Amino acid sequence: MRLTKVWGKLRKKNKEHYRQFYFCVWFAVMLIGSYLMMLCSPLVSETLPVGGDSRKQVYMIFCVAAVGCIIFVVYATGLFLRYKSREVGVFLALGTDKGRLSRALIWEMGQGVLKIALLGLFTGGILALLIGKIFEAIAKEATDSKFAFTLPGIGLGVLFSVVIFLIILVQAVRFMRRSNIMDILNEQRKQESVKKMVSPRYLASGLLLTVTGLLVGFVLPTVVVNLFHHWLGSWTNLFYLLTLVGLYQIMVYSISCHRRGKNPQKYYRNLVSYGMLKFQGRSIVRNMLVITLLLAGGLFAAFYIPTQSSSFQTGLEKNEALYSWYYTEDADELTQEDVLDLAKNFGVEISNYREGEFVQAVGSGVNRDLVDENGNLIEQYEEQHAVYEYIGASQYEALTGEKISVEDGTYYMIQSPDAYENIFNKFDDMDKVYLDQEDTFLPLNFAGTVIYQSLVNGDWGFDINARYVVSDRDYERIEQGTGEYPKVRQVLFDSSRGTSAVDFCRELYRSFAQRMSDSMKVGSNYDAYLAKTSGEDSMYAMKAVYNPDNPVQESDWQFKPTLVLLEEENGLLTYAVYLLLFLYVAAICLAAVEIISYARSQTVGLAGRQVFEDLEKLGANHTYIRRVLKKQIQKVFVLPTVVGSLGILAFEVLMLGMNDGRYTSGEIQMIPVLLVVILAVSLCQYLMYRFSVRKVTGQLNL
Amino acid sequence: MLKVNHLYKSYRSGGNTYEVLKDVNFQVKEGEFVAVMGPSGSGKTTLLNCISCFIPHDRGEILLKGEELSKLNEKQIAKVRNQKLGFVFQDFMLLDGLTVFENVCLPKVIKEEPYKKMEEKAEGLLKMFDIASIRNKYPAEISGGQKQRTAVARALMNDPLLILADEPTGNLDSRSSEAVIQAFVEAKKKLNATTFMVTHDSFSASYCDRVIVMKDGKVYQELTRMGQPREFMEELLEVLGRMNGGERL
Repeated sequence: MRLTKVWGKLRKKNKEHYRQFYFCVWFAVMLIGSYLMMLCSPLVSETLPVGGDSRKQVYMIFCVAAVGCIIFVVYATGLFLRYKSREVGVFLALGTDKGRLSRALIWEMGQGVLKIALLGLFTGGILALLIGKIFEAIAKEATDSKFAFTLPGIGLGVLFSVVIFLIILVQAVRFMRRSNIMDILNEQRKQESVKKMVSPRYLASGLLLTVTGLLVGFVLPTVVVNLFHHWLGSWTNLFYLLTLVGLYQIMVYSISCHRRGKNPQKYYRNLVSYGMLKFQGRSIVRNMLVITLLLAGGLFAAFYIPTQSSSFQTGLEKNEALYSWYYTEDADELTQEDVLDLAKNFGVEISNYREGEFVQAVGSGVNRDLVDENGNLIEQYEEQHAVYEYIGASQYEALTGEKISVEDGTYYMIQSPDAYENIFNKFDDMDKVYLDQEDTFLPLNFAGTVIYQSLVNGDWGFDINARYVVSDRDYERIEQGTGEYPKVRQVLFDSSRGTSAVDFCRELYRSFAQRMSDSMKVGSNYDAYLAKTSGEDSMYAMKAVYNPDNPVQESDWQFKPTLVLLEEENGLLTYAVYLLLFLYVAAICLAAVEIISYARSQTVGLAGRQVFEDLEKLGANHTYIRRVLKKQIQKVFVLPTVVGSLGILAFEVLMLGMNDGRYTSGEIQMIPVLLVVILAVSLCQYLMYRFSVRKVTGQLNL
Repeated sequence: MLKVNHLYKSYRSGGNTYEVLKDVNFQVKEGEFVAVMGPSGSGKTTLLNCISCFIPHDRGEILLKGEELSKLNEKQIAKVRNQKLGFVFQDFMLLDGLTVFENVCLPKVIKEEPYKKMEEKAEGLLKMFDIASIRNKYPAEISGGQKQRTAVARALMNDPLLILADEPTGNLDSRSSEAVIQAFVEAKKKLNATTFMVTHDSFSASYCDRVIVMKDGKVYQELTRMGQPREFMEELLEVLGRMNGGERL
């Protein structure tokens, strides 16, 4: 009988160990492979804006999942090798040549991992295809992109498998390099104890490091840029490592520090589980940390959905008019008659129809996009900064129904209810208007802001999107003194609601898009002056992306009409791919959490088998042993869930506040929704805990 | 304290039945230190496992202070093991994750007794067996003899009716063995503990009040110590040698 045959026999006898090891490898490759294939497919890659925040977030969470999966595989390999150690030790003790044994082990593991990795990639591909087709079906209105396997997607999946393969081989080689037979034999009984006793100071320093890492990594750059107008640079991200160290210390403390303290009865009640955990401590702590990070990553991705939904909903509610659009006067756009005729065809009643006129002219402003070589923000005042839109006070009153008195030589900025000043945007940047026909400037002073969302361009109405209310006399002066840029006509009205109103909106959208002039076919960042001065390749000169027949499809179009009823109807379909992708990331992270927690619970239970038998001999009944077991399994679930959930909730809340230096009512209302998400994930954790306990007690015949 | 009446136990293997205990009868009185000796395969460990309820017996009865152990259900057996029996094993069976003090406390921890009494009791036992100085050490940090004395202290924690010891000196050198046997003697003197010990070691057995010698699943002879351990050991060696056909063990 050859050595490989003997290996084969042993493998048959110990299927469970092989199954657990290969399952971990398969699971890691399948998850990450499917994610990479999905991320590189046109459906996702064409949807996520290059350099955008959502792409960065998806990559960041993906990195957490990938690192988690790698740690998970390293752990599974360690466990497998520990089981193998006894066999290897006996072979060595019986005089088997070490080189021969190494080759046999590496061949066996290498071959197995290779097959499993291929299976993982294949099943990952099937999973990606299935999810991709579901994405397509849900987001078919929003995007024309289709799911497809791409070479980079498959290539990166293969690369991940190779990394996993190499890590396992390195572990196997290192294991076999140990010269001492006793070390190998004792590997199976090796205790992974953490520091036997750590002080509360250790916990305090862990908490301090966690908070410091978060604050310095996340809050400090924003504070410094706000206070000192200086970018600290990406090195501050290194401080997140402190958070990692801090979390590790918290986990170590939870495992190793159990004192008699103020409640000795409780201490003694849990004495056995504390002791057992302590002696498997290192791997448990590692596991708990990975679970915490993955859970936090999964929740962060899951939070994206309610936060987006909430900001979308509150965004719509801010509009005073159900219909709002504007167009340049060179366009043969829809007139009031056209609108009324169209409405009649759809049986929709139009009300409050009003129109107004804005004049476009270059105004002064402050350029804050520049940074010097030391990272300091530069504020550069420019007499001619961008093209703004101006409306006379009486026209503004006619459009909005709100009384306004504007003195000559002053202006009010039209703003969104949530608008706020920050280091990049100020209300009073503009102080003169360039009258191009006379080559002179009309000085204007800032008098304040007026709130009217339906008249705000872009998200916030700052900078290139700025609109101002001036006195009627100044309006006339600007109108007479300029001519380079066409005037724009603003239309606002309301209508009855209902299905026919939505169909009416669709038709309006189509007609509006078809009738617009060439000068309106521009992207949302377009500015006629900046396009001229910055060049045709600049972000200010981009062409519009839109589909007249499909308003759901994501667009980049400065003149896109705001049709509240249509947006309410389409809801979040426009963002469907984003939302689904984040949901997918969340599902991947949470699935990994569940699997790791389950596998760890099994190890905790089975590693303690001997101790449970000993306890039984000492008179512990099954109820007692079950309690000891449960206490240990709880450790795997409870603290990571609590720390991961609360940590990421704190981070999310911090992020909402740091975005604009305050909390809007919408953001405050969203916190209970985030808590519900946490509750749902906690429930999943609880169910998995119950399942794990049932499984382990069954295996231990308890 | 312990009565074993007409005890039978057999194992089945490959269609064959092997009788390991055949009509075993004996008694252990309160406060008595009794050893069971005999060659390998004589049935002494099986006997101990039957008394411990680790394995069921076929026929006969085992009475612990009048209570028939084979009639108890799982919960009742657990209670007996915890409160009426104390165990000392050859490989110590201390929990690695607990300190010496905590290991000693274990039976009362399982019993869920109030901590104050438990701590007092454990402290007393640690002093009695001279292991108080290592109370905060873990099993991996102490010697074999210290481990076994810890195990003896643990066995006495719930004031059991009977201590069952399975080769308690089997893994120890002679010096450590003596310390462990002295621990049993101390327990008998100071606590009036009743001990039933299975051993191969004549030196350890020589400290007992009585030795039951087993052969082929039966009680071969019972010897009672009348004088000093040294003399009793001579007597034991002679009996064992005779039993093995003239060879001294």
